[in-house]
Amino acid sequence: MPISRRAFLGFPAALLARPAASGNVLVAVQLAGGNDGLNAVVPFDDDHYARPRPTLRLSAAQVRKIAPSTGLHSEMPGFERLFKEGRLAIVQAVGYPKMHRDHGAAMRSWQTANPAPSGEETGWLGRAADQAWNPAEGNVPAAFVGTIGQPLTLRARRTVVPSLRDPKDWTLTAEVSGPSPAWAAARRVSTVLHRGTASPYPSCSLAQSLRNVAQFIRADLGVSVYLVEHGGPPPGGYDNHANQAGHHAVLLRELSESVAAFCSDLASDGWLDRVVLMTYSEFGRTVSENGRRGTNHGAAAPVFVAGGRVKGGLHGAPPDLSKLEGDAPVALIDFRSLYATVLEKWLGLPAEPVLGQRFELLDLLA
Amino acid sequence: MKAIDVVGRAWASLVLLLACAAYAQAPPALPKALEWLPQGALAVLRIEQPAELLDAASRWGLLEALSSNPDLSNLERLLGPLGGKSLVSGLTAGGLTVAAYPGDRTVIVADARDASSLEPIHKLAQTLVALQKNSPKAGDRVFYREHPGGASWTFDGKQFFASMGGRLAMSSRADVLKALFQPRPADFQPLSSWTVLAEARKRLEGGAGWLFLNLALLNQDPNFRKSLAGDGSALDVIVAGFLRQSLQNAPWAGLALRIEGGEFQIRGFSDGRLPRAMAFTTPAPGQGLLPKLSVPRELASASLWRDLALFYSARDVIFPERSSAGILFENFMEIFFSGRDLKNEVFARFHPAVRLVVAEQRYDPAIGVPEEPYPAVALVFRVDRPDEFGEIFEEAWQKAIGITNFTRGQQAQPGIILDKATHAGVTFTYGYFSVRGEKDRGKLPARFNVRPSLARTGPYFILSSTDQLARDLIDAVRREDGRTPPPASAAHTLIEIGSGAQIAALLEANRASYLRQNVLSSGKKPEAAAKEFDNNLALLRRIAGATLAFTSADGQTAELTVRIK
Amino acid sequence: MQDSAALWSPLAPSSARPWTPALASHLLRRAGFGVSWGELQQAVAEGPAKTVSRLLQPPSRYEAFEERLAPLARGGPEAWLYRILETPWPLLEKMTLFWHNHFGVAASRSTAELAGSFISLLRRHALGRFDQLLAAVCRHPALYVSLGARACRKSAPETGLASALLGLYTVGPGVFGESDVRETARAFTGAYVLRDEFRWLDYEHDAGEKTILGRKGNFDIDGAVRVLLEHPSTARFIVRKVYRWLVSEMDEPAGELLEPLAAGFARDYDIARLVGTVLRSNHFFSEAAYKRRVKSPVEYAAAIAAALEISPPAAPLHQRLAGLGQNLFDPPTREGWAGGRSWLNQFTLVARANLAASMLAQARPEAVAEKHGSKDVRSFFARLLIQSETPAPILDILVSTEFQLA
Repeated sequence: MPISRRAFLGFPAALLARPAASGNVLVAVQLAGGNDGLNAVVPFDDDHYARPRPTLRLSAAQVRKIAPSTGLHSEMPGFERLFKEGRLAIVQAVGYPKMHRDHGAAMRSWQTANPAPSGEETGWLGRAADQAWNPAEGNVPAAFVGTIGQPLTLRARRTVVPSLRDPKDWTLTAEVSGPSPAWAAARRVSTVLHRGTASPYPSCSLAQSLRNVAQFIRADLGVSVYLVEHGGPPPGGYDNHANQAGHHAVLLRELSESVAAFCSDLASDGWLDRVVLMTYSEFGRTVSENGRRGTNHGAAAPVFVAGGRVKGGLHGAPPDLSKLEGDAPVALIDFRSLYATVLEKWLGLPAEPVLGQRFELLDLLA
Repeated sequence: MKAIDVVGRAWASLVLLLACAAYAQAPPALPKALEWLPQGALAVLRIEQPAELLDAASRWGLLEALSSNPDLSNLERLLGPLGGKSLVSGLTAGGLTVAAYPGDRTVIVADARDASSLEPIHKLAQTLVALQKNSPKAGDRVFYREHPGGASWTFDGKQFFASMGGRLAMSSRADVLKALFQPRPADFQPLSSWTVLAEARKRLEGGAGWLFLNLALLNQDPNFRKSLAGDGSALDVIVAGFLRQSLQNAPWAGLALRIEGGEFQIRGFSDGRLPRAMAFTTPAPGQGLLPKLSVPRELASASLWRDLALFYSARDVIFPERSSAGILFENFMEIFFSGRDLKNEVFARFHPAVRLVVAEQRYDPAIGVPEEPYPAVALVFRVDRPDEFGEIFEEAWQKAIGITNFTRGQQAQPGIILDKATHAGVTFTYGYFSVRGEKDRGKLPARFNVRPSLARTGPYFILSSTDQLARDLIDAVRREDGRTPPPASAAHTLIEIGSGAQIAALLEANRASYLRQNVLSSGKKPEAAAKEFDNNLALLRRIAGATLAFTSADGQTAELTVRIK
Repeated sequence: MQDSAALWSPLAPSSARPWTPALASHLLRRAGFGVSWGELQQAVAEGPAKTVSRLLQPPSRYEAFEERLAPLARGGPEAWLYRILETPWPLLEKMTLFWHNHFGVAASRSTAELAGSFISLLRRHALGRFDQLLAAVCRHPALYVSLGARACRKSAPETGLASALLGLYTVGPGVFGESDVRETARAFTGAYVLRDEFRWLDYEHDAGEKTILGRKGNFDIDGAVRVLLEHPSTARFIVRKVYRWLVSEMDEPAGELLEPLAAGFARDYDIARLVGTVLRSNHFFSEAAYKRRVKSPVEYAAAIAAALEISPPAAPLHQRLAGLGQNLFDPPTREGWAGGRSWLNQFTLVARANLAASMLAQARPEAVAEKHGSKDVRSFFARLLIQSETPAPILDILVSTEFQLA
């Protein structure tokens, strides 16, 4: 007996009240170009760090100390605050064995969670979206908030993942009425946008994207994963081969202040406990400078994880700068452990179908 | 009953009522248009002698071209039998004024020679109203009502008209017209007493017409701001940044139109200082643009004042966000110049007066002819310490070719081969694509339009997209022989276009591409797109030459002169 | 279950089962993209058999149409969308889209030119013969580039390509094993894409004996393709996909139901005959098929454009449809678009509503209704869009659950 058309589409008339779609939210921040982890989370009194960086090295006086021999770049006051509040976890030396050194393959590895050149067509968050999608409910498990082309990270087999250049993209311009959950969700977006947000944000585009994400979170749309990006389309603004000091300082300030503003915004009305934000970048950078006051493509680098229920502090061992491979630190934590942790412990999704195998989970979340 | 009917009828009755009450006997003369319309407009357009403008437009062939537009051709069909151009001149003898206000409220005011000039319009309106009334859809939305001195009507419920004496006013909003015909409150502020407009009019008036843009208000609209924003790239900022920034920051801008014989002149003004970061476009006192270089088959040329060293040192202010494009530029420049100090050792070598030349190509049949012909483009720089810097720049240029070739190779695309040529004693390097293996030498792929060349003669570097243009420019620069006359004006950007017919021929050769773009992005039928293309080319052919000059002194000025054959 | 032969025999309208506008509209929707009033009336007048025959053939003005479209030939997905909206032979484009979905070759994984040329290839064979289509596809560079198999070396056969060929394009899943993948990959060694052209490098070809799906031989590309075509699962797999495309996305048909179609298809792989049989059949016009598909974004926009008789600009419309999940030329994976329920989620429903409203704003529905002799806009469009006798505002119909179904 074929199911009725109404039931097929999952919009039974009984579903008039707004569904309680509140669940945990993951906000992934793509840092394009290869973030120089060593000048962001600085081992300031390690000679192996200082000597190869004649113009780029940062001394104890130039960093914000967060541990006896580790400091954050001076342009990251927001991250320092979050760290002291216990809301920022820094996972050190994250990567995978024999990391790719070219932008294309390296970024694909992080986006597909598959370092082997497999022709993997879907992204890890796209696969997670396919897991979380319920056809009967018509929920939207993931969304990209930004103006560039949607990154491979969110490419899914079945789910349609929206790209939201402007928060108004998810409001109704058509004059329709009725109790459908889709219209109700769009109206919640309008209401939230209309109310606006009093929280201050810096004026860069990452901050705008995060502000929009905060609004979408408040609209309680049932979206579990938001992706934003910093650094633009490939190759990416973090790719500082030349004159790194100034550029990197600006980027780190934008990152730190935008994320801190985002956390304050959500904390102000109790949403931060439901949100975990994590960054990823295709590689770190070489320990030595090149001759152009910049650095080249490296390997392992730290990952930042922020949120209301994050176990703040430095996680994992610091990168061993005395045992470099190709002038860059070796990975001590596999990035897929990080992915598995947020998938299982935060989003409640089984990690193995998404990542293809089991990975040890990290103790990052309270 | 639909809202539009209620509003329409209420408005019409109110006008009637007020007309009777306020203007008991004969209607008094209405104040001049600018004294009649309120302040706060987004834009104001004023045509002093519409008939003269129409004549000039007709001489140019603009009217025929416009007739391909369906709305305008309908208008033409309506007005034609009533006297066409002479009707329009009678209708607008006292001037035409258009004012646009926020919230989509626009008014068009035509001041006729006298009330009797409006008679044909009244008759036309009555006819149209009668026709529409027969259609069942019309209902109460369509009406024609007379009152002492004039009438009010609408025949489609979308445009509302009202006349009083010799004045005809039109708007798509009934409430807007209603407000105009009501007696004014005591504190009414007309356009004529608007300070910012008064300022602007001092520079705009005196010609055939002017357009005033209230940039302060327009820039509050995100769509308007988006249309002014470029693509954010370094090239866009260097070339057009001054224009974008002046329109983004100035309180107002205006265009003044003058017609003299076969020349249309549009002068643009904006009142605004450029931010300090844009200082790289302002010539130093006593300095200015270099005269244009003439080459055979020239299509267009430009002379620019761009101090690249100043631009580079202001880049952190101009590009506060470290975008991918900016970082890429930085990375590549450092590679090309092998880690040198870009500001002092590279950009400072370039004299700010730069010239650009665009010329039609002549293809060597022995090599082959591309299916889609593009013009050749070249930049001519004057540099400091040419002997020392010459090799540095040559090295950078060859690296650029090299990296292009490498990237193309990665995508299995053919690359450029470098060779040397000599012309007038100057040996220079150029690159070419091998034509071996190409199946149809009469329809080569687009890349065969490009043969990048770098020629150095005396203090001049010629960076050209073809070796032929490089040769022509070596000759042109030699003719200058180091003698350059003092600059004619304080302009910082001067663009000149030669024969419109030549440009039209080039566009015609690329017809298929243009039509494809047009059909896909506008939804026009291929036939309509073709007709529009042909009309535009016909207009272009009538242009004998055009110049566009930008100056930053006492605000920003732009002057566009178009000479029609 | 009813005798499947009876189900696939042609519908003969009678007083018990009359030929209605609803059935005519259903046929036109499935055989194309949208239905205008004129087309609907013609189909109602002609009846199912004559309409299907007509839909399978190029109309008389098709050659002239192709000529008009020549300047757009090198356009990308926007040009194809334009073609879909304007074509007088919609069934050809519908089946081209079917094959595009089937082969899942994406422009983003190759190049725009190759993708465009691939679509042209699909169109040439869309209503032709599957064996010829498959042979041509296996010699088109886009397939290899898209599957990351530019170089099928003797020492490193491309198993990804073979796996897609077996599991997605011919016999389907569950019929082959790892060794079949390896052996098929060996058959394809020597296939290279050099400078965007397909080349066969003899010295890279492993000419030894291979065992594919139980058959032994020194197979090369053509040999392997023949083995796959002769396997009974291929016809069944393709027929099942065609069923999903033309009949129903919501129910899995039983093997017995598809057997007669598969047997016929296996004989000569005649796509037009298969499509014709399906579109004429009793089963197609029954409850099992009626409104059992979801309109993909392209179908949704085309249906609105056809009914309202507007020509929206193709390039901006393409961007909006990509936002709805259907980026023509670029399916998300080699499996194509999932279709069915995946088109509809709480975001896409809102985006569809906004698209419908903006298309409606460019239209003149009263003029369209009047042109076809109706003074009541709401009744006219209720009848045209969803074959309902209850008048309703047009936008309400366009966003209704009913109208999302095809």
